[in-house]
Amino acid sequence: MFDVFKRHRKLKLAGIAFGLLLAWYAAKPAIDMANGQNVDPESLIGSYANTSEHQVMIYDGEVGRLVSENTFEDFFYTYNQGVLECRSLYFDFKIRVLGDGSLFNGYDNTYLYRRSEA
Amino acid sequence: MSKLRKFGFHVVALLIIVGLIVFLAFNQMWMIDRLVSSGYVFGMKFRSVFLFYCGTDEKAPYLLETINDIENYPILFRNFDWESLGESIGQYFRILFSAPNALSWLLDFSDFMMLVTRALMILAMVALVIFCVVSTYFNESHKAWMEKTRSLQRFQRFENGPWASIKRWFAEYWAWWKKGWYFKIAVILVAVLLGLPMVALDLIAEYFYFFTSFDFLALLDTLLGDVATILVGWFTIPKPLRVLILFILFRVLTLWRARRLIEGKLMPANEAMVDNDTGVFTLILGKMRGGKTTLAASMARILNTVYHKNAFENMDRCAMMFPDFPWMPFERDIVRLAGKRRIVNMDQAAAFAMRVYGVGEHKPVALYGYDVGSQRNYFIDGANRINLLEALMIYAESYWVYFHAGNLISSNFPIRTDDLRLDKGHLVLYDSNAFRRKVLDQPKDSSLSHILVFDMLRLGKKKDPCNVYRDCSGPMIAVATEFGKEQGNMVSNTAYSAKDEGANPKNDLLDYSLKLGGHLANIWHTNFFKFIADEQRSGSLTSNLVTVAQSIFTADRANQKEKMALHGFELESAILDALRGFRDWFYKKYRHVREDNTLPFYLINKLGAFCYSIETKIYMRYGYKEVKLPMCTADTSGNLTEGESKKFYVINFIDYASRFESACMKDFLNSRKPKADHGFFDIPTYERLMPTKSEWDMQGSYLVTDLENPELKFSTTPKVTRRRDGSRRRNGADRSSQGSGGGVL
Repeated sequence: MFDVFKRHRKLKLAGIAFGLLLAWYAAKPAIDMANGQNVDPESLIGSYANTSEHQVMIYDGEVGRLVSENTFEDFFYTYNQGVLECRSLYFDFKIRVLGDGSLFNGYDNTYLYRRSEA
Repeated sequence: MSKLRKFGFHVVALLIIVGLIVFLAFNQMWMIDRLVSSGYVFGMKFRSVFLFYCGTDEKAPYLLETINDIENYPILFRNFDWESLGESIGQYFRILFSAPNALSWLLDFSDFMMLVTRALMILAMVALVIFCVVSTYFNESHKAWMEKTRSLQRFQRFENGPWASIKRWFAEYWAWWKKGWYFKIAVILVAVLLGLPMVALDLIAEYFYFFTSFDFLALLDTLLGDVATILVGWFTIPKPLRVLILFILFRVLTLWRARRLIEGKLMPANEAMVDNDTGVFTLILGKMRGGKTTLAASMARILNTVYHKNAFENMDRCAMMFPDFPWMPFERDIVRLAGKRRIVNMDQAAAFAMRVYGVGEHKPVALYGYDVGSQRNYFIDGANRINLLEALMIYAESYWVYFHAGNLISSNFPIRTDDLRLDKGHLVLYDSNAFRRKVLDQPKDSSLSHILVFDMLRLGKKKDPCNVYRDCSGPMIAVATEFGKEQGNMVSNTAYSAKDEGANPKNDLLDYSLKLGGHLANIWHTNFFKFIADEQRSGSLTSNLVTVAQSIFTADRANQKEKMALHGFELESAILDALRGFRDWFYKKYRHVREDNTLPFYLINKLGAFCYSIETKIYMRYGYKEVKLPMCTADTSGNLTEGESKKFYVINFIDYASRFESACMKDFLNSRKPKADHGFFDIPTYERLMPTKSEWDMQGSYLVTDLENPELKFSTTPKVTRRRDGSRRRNGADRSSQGSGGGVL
């Protein structure tokens, strides 16, 4: 009964499942980007970081204007000897902090390194 | 409806509206601001359009900028940096093909698979419990079929009582609610919550703005702003509801595509195939149950539609050649005279046109006020000079074919057509899209084919020379199933002579109708006569008839592939099949040992019925068969050579919708059965594997007769003329007059 429904059904279901997995893979970076979990070191250039109380905030170049409080939420970071080591979902990098480790006070992309460059 | 009930309805409706307003005000208030911003951008864009036409080029504000000013608006594309768009895209692709992304995806996937495994384990446990529970119902019981267990009685009391009332209340409420203002207000509120009016406003404004400004950035800005709005609205919906909505949208899309496939591709392909690839005489050959008659009925139905279209095209062309001629009163006169039976066929319609023109040529009043002296009397189509008289005759003949209620099919078995005749007293139109019909409307939309009176096609001797329908042939689609048995072949017709007094296949000249069918009902180079016949093999017909067939198709089950126009039904059908399989297993085991009613039997049976109902409805509505029809050519001996294959689609919803009765001779063949006093199961069975003499005698076999009386077979007495069925025995297999005789075995 209704053999037409059964024709290649397993193959089609496998195809649909595979398609959904691929779509998931392709959508994941976009979702992560939208959730701010993908901070690329390149995008930090021109930003200011406030490292006080081990909290990192990223500004969009204008002091006081917050881009996202959650940007670094999922970062693991250590603060040691003036170097903030950040490990995001996708990229590992270091930010060298001036002096006493308080607020960055100026724009200089030399403070930002990719892990490979650090 | 009682006042109290109505009051309750109003209260519930008000609660729904108030609930939506409260949700909007306390949870999605920014949507109102978003609506205002859309209104503002809408006004500014139209202002820019107006200024553009006044000669001033002024840009309208960007949508995203305006949205950014909304307080508490969810962050999505906020502070969108157009300049870094390329960078973001590059970043996306860098991440896409990176090891961390693959790893992260694998982690997510493994989490998901863990969830699935857990669900499957739980499901397996549930299945095991169900199996154990239902297995207890396979103990033999001798309770009567009408007995019900207490749990079933309680359930049915609930089902027929409170549950039925709840369902009725919801049905009544929905019927009442959707007609009133409450429904409209609720729809508007939900649309605002989802951001739909804003999207509509933005897109309308952008449409006009873009063609004056050609600002691609503004176009992108609008699209991003609207995508953001839809996403924000979308994420306010609870997750399970989102999944349900996505599934419904997916299903609506697939249903729409399935309809488009059938209505837009398969049905036109069938029409083109039948119109172009069938000749005046089309022969469909194939084994029993190979779908020959289905094809013949389907082709006849399609030809009926095509003929109406072709007739209308003829009329339309005449109307364009003589646009000032008042065709309406001319049509009415034909209908009026047909009603009075003064016109009964196409030729009389043409004769009427001649009469009208003959009188009206010098007397415009008789020609409905059309003055052939001062108005157009002929038309040159580039190659021919067509007079008004010729146009009138073409129009009258075509209109005769066109306007009749009922179909143009004449067949030896009933074929149902469902082209709707739309008549408001002016121009008759036809709706031939049977796929859009409701099954329940079938009886009122239907007309059955005319009886095929073979005498009207016999140009020679007629079986009944006084038959009142002998001159009825004309524009028609004649369909004859089992045509070989009707006309016979060279062997079966040996008993006949062309000089016989009565009509027979050798002197009736029916084959001339098929050979000259192209002349019989031709209107303005358009043929309106086709004969479709089916038979099991070409040898059943005389080679004379086989060779005259312009189209010979061979129908074979091996060339038919079942297909489904509805895609993406795999998962649902797998679930439904599994449930139905469970029901079948339970049903057989249960029914085998008992017949009383229990709650599990009732519920599982209902579940199976529900699954069957969905599957059969999808199958009958969207299923079709792709039939490859090899076109054969016949040589002078009637031998066939297979040629190019044509595709034909047998659409379940149309071709299996009570289109014809495939066993059309059933009642005729069984006409003596109602009076019979013995049935099949009264026939004795053999006693052993070796049949006895009396068992052989019971068979009425020719072989047994010949072996018992060889002198009859080889006697030199005058030869008995072979009967039409090929037998030389006067009494066929009837041995009753010969006595039982001695045995030779």
